[in-house]
Amino acid sequence: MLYSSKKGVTDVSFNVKDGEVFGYLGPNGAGKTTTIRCLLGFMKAQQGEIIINGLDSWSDAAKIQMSVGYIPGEMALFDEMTGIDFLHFLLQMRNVKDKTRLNELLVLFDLDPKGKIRKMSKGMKQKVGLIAAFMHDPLVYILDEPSSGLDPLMQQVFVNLIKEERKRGKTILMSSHSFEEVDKTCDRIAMIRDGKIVLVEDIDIVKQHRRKIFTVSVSNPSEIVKMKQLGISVIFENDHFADVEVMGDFKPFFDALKQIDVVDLNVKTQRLEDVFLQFYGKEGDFR
Amino acid sequence: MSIPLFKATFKTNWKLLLMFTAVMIFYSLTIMFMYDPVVIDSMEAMLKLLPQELIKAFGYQLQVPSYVGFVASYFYGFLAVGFPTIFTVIVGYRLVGKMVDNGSMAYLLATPNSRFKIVLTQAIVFVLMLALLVVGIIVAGIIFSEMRFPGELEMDKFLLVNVTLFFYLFAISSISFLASCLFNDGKNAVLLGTSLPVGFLIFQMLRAQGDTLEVFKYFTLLTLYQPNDIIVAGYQPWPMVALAVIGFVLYSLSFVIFKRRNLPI
Repeated sequence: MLYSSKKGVTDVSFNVKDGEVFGYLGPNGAGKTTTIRCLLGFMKAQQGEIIINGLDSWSDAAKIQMSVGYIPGEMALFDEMTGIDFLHFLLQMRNVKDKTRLNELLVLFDLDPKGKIRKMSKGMKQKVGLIAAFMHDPLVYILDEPSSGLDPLMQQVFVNLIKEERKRGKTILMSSHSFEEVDKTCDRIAMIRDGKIVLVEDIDIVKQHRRKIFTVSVSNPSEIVKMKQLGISVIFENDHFADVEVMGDFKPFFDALKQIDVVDLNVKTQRLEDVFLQFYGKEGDFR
Repeated sequence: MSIPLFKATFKTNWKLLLMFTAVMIFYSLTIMFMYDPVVIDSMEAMLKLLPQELIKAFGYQLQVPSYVGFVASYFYGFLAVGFPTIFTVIVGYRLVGKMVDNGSMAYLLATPNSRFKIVLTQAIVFVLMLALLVVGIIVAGIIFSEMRFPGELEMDKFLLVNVTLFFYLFAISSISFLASCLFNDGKNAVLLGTSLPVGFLIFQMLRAQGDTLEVFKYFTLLTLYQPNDIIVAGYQPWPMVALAVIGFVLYSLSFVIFKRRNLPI
């Protein structure tokens, strides 16, 4: 799928198994949303085919929507409606009369949907969008950056909801630009870069090869010397703190830390590119 | 057609419809109120004092000095097409183009309704609203006329002028709707959807000057809606048929295009 600007998605192939949570990762502009637009039948791939539940995503788009819940990446709702009118309207458009799931979700996300959508905050709009995707209890979820705009508490609520839906046998594809967002929920991930899929792998294997960087603050500089002697790999140091990289097994690192006078400990978030490069570097040409 | 979408779209736009209908009825009744068989000559004399180009541009030329002829010239000549043009331009864009531009169309297409069903529903609401607008003017006009000048209004001619007006609005609404279905970028949809219907008005004002400017009649759909001619010549099918065919073709084209397009939503 190419846009007239020659940007787009050129080499994407993956399949999501029944009942799994699939993370679709990529930096901004890599082609995540374009892929999802093709999945939903908003755009037609110039080559290849996309099958959802045995149906073609372009020609059977309307039929596929019966069993799909979708969250768009850009949250543009019907501004002039109230939240509850909008949700009721979408249920009517689906010909769904049962409102129990909707009411459960309103409680779960602690949303008061009576106000006009135009006046809602970004987080509230995101909640309305999430509820719109889940309220008809579909078999398949296609979620484009679902937790953006949510506060940490609501992100946790969302993660729990995904886990619960997985237990109920639902199939979920969710896109994200950060590894941390998907590693709590996903079984497998695909990474896309410049319109091409560069990695499709089980999350456990990716985690094993993942390098984490911790910033360790210590009481005095001699502690850093001690850390090095204990075999901790220090990649950057200052008087009172050191950046330390840990790969795979964390036990030796924590054992060593027990002998150090640690004042503070932080995890450094890594760019998706780094996660990918580490993995790619270790596994070589595994694709 | 999708009933829930029909209701929602109607609910979003009915206030605007009400406003335009009210303004139209107000103008229509004001013109009717001004009619006075006794002073009609003096009114003609007064208009002669104004620049003739202006009088012609707005179609204020009394062809037939009857009540319905008076209304056809002074209301249907310009006001009755000018105001609804603004309405069709605004609503036409809101129905599809705006929703593609801001991405809210994604929510409609993420329900198990085909694209065709969605745009067809929007078009039905649009045409129904135009019909209600015209019916509003007809009903208000008849009631007012019968109260003020009982038996004076030639009903057949009055209805003919209004029904042809509806077909004209149907035709220009199809242009706005097509523009609305055609572009990803809202700006382009507004540009095309506005420039043609407004252009028709301007070309009509120019062609009414006569002489060499008469050539502009080939550039405006208003050539197919000349209320003065309807009053003089009575029922003539072809302008109505032509307007209806233009509308049907452009609406059908809009549906086909929207069904096949890639939508960046």
